[in-house]
Amino acid sequence: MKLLRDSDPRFQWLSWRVGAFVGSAVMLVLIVIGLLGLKQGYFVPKSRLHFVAENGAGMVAGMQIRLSGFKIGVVDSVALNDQAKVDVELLVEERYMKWIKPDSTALLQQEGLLGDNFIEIAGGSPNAKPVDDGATLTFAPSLGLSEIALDLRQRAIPIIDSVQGTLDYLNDPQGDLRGTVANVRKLTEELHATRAAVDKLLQNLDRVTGEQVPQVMARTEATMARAERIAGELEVRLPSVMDKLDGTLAQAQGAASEANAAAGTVRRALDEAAPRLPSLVRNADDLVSGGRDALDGASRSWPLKLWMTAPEATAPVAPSRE
Amino acid sequence: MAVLAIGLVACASEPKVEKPVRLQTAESAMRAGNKAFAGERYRDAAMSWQDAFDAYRSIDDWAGQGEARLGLAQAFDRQGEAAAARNVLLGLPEQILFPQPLRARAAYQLALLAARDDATGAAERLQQARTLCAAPCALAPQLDNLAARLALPTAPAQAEALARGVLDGMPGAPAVERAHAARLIAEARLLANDAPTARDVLLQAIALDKEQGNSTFLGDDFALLIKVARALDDAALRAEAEARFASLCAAVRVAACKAP
Repeated sequence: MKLLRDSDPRFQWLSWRVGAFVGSAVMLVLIVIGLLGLKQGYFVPKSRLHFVAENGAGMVAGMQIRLSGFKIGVVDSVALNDQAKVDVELLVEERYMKWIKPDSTALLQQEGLLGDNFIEIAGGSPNAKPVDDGATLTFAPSLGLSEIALDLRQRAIPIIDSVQGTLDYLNDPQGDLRGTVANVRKLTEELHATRAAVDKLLQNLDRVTGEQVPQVMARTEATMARAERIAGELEVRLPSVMDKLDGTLAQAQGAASEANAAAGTVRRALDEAAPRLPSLVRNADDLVSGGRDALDGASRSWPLKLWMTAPEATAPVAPSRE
Repeated sequence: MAVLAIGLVACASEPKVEKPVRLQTAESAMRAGNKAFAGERYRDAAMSWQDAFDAYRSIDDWAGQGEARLGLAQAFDRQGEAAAARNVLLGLPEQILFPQPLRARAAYQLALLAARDDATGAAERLQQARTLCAAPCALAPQLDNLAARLALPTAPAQAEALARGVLDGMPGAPAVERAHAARLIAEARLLANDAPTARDVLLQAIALDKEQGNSTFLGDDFALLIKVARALDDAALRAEAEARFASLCAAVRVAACKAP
């Protein structure tokens, strides 16, 4: 007996009914895709921005662009250019372009300690005109602790070298400064000796007899001539000594001010980095603890519990050969 | 239904038993110490075991703090600080608050430390360990091997008998102890001018030490193999042993490499 006949009313308009069902299903899928696209901002007009980064680490096409914590677009492409730098193209929704100014900077940020990277658009003069489509932004790479340390090192080392050089110059026994000071000391000692001789002559003057006067006068004249010569020599040498001393002092002052500036930079950098350290350590502790909890949980679950052995909390037995 | 039941049973996790925070900290530090020690990071291991010791002490857990002290002493010893290792262990075998197996292990470790420069002290500690180690003693292979090691210079036959007891009579002994026993027999045989047997047993020890991947013991074995090859007047074996010894010493300067 034939169970199903062509004239069965259930087969009437079968192809139309199947077509309508498939069509409505396709329509439904398209509507869902459309809604998802709308939600993701695929149908929103966008402007293209661009920046160049030294390094493409952490940057991928599709990552979010945020302004004040809100998603305003996506990274369209990340590509290496001819200068071995990284060209990054951004697609930003047009409605947000009014807040992006020519002096706005793009920063690579990370959400939490383990979160996704994203590009943060920051800064920008409130009164400046918004950037146009195709504008280029400045990219400011965010510094990690190692980069901060490297930066500090690179800044501090030339200054330390400069201070060291100046101190070496000041301490050099053959150098200008110490040589000059030694010369001045020698001249001063000679001048003291000359004055003592003149004083002695003057004290003995009342005991001088008539025939001794010319002799004494001659000696006095010679002494005075010597004093005059030394004074003249001092007069000639002192300005150059003072000039050199001036230069040396200026150099020392320069080094000191450089060191002062470096100390300021170091202090500022440390002020920036130091508050982050405890939270970094705390986060790392939490992370390790969380990871351990997760692993503990996983190791108790099937099938991992079949493969993993719980680590011993007892000390190993020392081999008798040690 | 049956499939569902099987699936539910299979996927079920063991109920999580919440331990006190300080105990968790102590056990975690203990495990970290074990891991660092196994990875030859002895300074890290010492720090972790010290943390574990403090944490166990803070909750009056004598078994835990004893384990931590045993580990800490080993970490100090591996760093060449034998005196510190001895200080960590002193008083432990005598303190009755510690579990007895742990006191036995402490006495054994003290005997090991003394064995390098004080054979009499080592023998006394060994005797203390034997007294504390209740039958069936879990430390029997270690204690017998150490006794053999101490007896070797004066009574090689006795040392060989003890080592043979470990190698042949204790199949469940750890591989490292079986290798040690084989090496002790080889040394005893060499002292008895039986170089061919010494070579055979030593090759067995080398095979076991290679399985363990312990550079220190392998270096020690190759140094003895060179002596055995000399005694046998076997140039090929000597060349092979010297090549292996030189290759190992080029990679890692174990104690045998520094010996004259």
